[in-house]
Amino acid sequence: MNIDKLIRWDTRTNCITEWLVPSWSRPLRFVGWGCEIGNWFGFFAHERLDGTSCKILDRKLYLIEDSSIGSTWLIKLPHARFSVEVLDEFRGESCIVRRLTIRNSSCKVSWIGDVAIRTVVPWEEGLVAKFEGTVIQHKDRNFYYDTEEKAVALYWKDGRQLNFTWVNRPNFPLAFTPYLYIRDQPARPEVGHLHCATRAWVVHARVIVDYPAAFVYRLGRNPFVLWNRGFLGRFIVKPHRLGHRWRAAEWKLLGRGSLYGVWPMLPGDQWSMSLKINAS
Amino acid sequence: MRVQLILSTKYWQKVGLTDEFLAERLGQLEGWIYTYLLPPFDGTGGIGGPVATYWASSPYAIGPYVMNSYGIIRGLCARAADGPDARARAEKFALFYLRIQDPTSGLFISSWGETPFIPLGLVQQASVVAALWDLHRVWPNNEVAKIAERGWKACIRHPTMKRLWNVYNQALRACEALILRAWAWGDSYPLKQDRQILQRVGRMILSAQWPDDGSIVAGAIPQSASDDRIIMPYQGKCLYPLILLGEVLQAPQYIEAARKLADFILRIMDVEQEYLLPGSFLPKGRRLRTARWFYRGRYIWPWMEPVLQQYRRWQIADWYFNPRPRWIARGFDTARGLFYLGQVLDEERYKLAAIRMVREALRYQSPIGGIRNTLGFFGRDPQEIGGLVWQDALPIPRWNSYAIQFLHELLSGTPLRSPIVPSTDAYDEVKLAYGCTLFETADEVKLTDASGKQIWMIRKGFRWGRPFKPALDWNEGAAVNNEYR
Repeated sequence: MNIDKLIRWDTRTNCITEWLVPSWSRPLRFVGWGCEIGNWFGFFAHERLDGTSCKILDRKLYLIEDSSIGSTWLIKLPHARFSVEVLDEFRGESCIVRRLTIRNSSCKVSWIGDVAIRTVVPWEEGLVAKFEGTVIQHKDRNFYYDTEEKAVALYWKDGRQLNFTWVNRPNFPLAFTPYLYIRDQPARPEVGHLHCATRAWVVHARVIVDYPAAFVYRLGRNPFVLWNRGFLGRFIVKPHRLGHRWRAAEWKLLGRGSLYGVWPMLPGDQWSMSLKINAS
Repeated sequence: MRVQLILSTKYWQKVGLTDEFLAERLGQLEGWIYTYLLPPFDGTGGIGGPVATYWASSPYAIGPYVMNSYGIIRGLCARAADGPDARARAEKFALFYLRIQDPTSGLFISSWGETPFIPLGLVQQASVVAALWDLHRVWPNNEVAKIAERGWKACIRHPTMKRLWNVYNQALRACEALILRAWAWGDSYPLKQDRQILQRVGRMILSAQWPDDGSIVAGAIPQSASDDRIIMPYQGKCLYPLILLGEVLQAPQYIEAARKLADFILRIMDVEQEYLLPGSFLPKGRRLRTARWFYRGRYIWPWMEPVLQQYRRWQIADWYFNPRPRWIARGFDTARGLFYLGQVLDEERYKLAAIRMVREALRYQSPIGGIRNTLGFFGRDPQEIGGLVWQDALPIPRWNSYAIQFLHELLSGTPLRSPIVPSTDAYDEVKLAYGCTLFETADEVKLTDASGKQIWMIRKGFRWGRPFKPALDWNEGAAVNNEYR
C-alpha cells in the first residue's frame, strides 16, 4: 500500500486533508483532523498548532512503513504537561484506525478535562448524519448530538458512507465517559479559522470527565479561572446547586460563567483511545 | 470479639421460608442488579441505576454509584467458604472501587449524596472503605489495603468528611469501617487512637438517643446533631454498628442502646399490619426555626452545636408522624441489625421480626427480580392519588444492594449459586397513578403517560437516562430514513 497515493496531508501537523478511497468516485476532503486536549484552563488544538494558554514544546512528525502517519507532541497547559501521540494507521485502503495516546511527562500531577479525536467533513448537498438509528439533517444549528453508543455515521445520497466506531472502550479512568458526538457546524468565516469557515459535519470521539475530582469555574472566555481546591475554592459556587446541569455550560452566572470537571493524571500515567473510520 | 452469624434455619422455617426459597430469590435479585452493570459489564465498571430516595429522585443520572456494589462485596465476603466463585465476583466489584478513587484526595468519586452532584457523604466513603477492608480480611490483597487506607485517611482528614461526623448513622458506619480495619489487620481489638474515635462516637450516640421518658420516640436516634428529625430507615442503620461497638469495646451500654433502638423500631413499625419501615417523625415546637438561624455559627463557635441541640430539644412540644412512605427494599438494613441483635442478646423476637421483614419485602419482588422501593413515596397514601408513582414501583439498585448483602449473610454455609439473569422476553409492567405505566425489561426502563407517550427512558448499561423532551426531536429525520438505508 502506497500511502502517498492514498492521502494528502498537512506537512506541518501530519493531519490528513484528503483521502482517496478507491471505491469512491471522488476524494474525501477533510477540513479538520487531529486531536484536542483541554483542561478548561487551556487547550491544545492539534490541527491549528495553537490553542488557549498552550505552549508546544516539541514535535515529531513521521510516516511508518507506508501504512501509518503520526506525530508526537510535547505540550504545556496551565496545571498540565503532556506528551501526546497521534497515530493514524491504515487497515486496508478504506479503513483508518486513529489512536491517541496521552502521557503525563512531568513529575507533577496534570489535570485533564477532556480529550477528543476530531474529524471534520465539509457539508455537501445530501450529506446527512446517522445518529442512534435516526437520520439527522444539517441545519446550521451547531447542535451537539452526543451519544454513549459505539458508532455514528455520515451518509451521502449516492450511497457512500463513513462510519465512526470506537475500537475498544477508551483506556481512560472510569471518571471519563466516552461520547461520540456529531455537530452541524455552520459556516462562520468571521471566526478566522479555516475549519470554521466551512459548513461541515464535525465528528468528535471524545472522553470527558463526568465524575470530577475537582471543579473548575470559569468566567466566560476570561482567563480568570478558579477551582474548588485550596482556600479560595471554598467560596465558589458549589456544583450540587446546579443539579445535573453543571457540565454542559448550560448554567451561566451573569450569562458568562461555567463549571467544568477535571481529573488528575499522575506522573507516568498513560491513557489511550482508538477510533475506527471506515469508508464504504 | 467478632459478631458471628450462626446459621440456623429454624427462624425462617417458622415464617414459612426455606433455604431453597431464599437462594432462588437471591439469585433473581442478583441477576436483576447485574442488568445495571456498566461497560465492560463484569463489575469493574460499576453498577448504575436510577435514584429514588428520601430527598430527591432522578431517572436521568444513572451512572455508576458506589453503594450499588457495596452490599454485593460485603455479601460475597460472607460467602467466602461457599465456593470459589465468591472471590472472583467480589474482586471484580472491588476493582471498580480501586479505579474510582481520586489519587490526590483519597475520596471515592461517584459516591455523591442522594442525587448528583450533591457532594459525597461520609457514609458512602466509609462504606467503600468498610467493603474493601472486609475484602482484605477475607482475601488479603495489598493493593486493596492501600486504597482502603487512603480512603480511611480521607474519612478523618478531608474537610468534606470531617464535618459529617455529627450525622449519627454516618459516624456509626465509619466506626464499622474502623473496626473492620482492625480485623483486617488481624487485631481483634483496635489500636488506642482508633478506640478513642470509637468511644467518642459512642458517647455522642448515647447522649443523642432519646431518653426513656414515656415519649413516643423513646429510644430513637435523631438524624444528626443539627437535625432532630427521626427518619426510620436511618434508625435501623445504627443497630449493627452499635452492636459492634458494644462487642469490641466490651461496653454493654451500647448493646443496651441498640436494644432500646430496636424496641422503638418494632413499636413504630406497626408489626401487626405489615413488616415495612414507616416514614419519619418531624419535631413540632415553637422557636425551632430560630435555632436553625444560629446554627451556622457552629463553624465559628463550636460550643454552639450542643447548646443549640439542647435548646431545640427543650422546644420540641410534640411529634408529627408520617407513616408514608413505607420502605420495602430499604428495610433489609434494619432487618440485618435486628437479626444480629437477636443473635447477641439471644432473643428470638428480634430475629423473628427480621425474618418477617425479609419475607414481607420479598413479596414485592418484581417478575424480573428487583425488590420494589416504597409505598406512598411522597408521603401520601397511594389510594389518595389513585395509585403508586414510579418511585414506588421501580426497584432501586442502591437499596437492593443491602438486600443482597443480608440474604448472602443468611445463606452463608450453603453452596453459592450463580445469579439468575432475567431472560430477554421477561418484563415487569406496573400501572401507576394518573394513568402512567412503568415498563421494565433486562435492557431498559420506560415510563409512559396515559396516552402512551414516553415520559422518560433508561437504557441499562449507559450512564445517562433519556428525558422525554430533548432539546431536539430525535425523529425529525425519520421521513428520509429509508432513502439512506
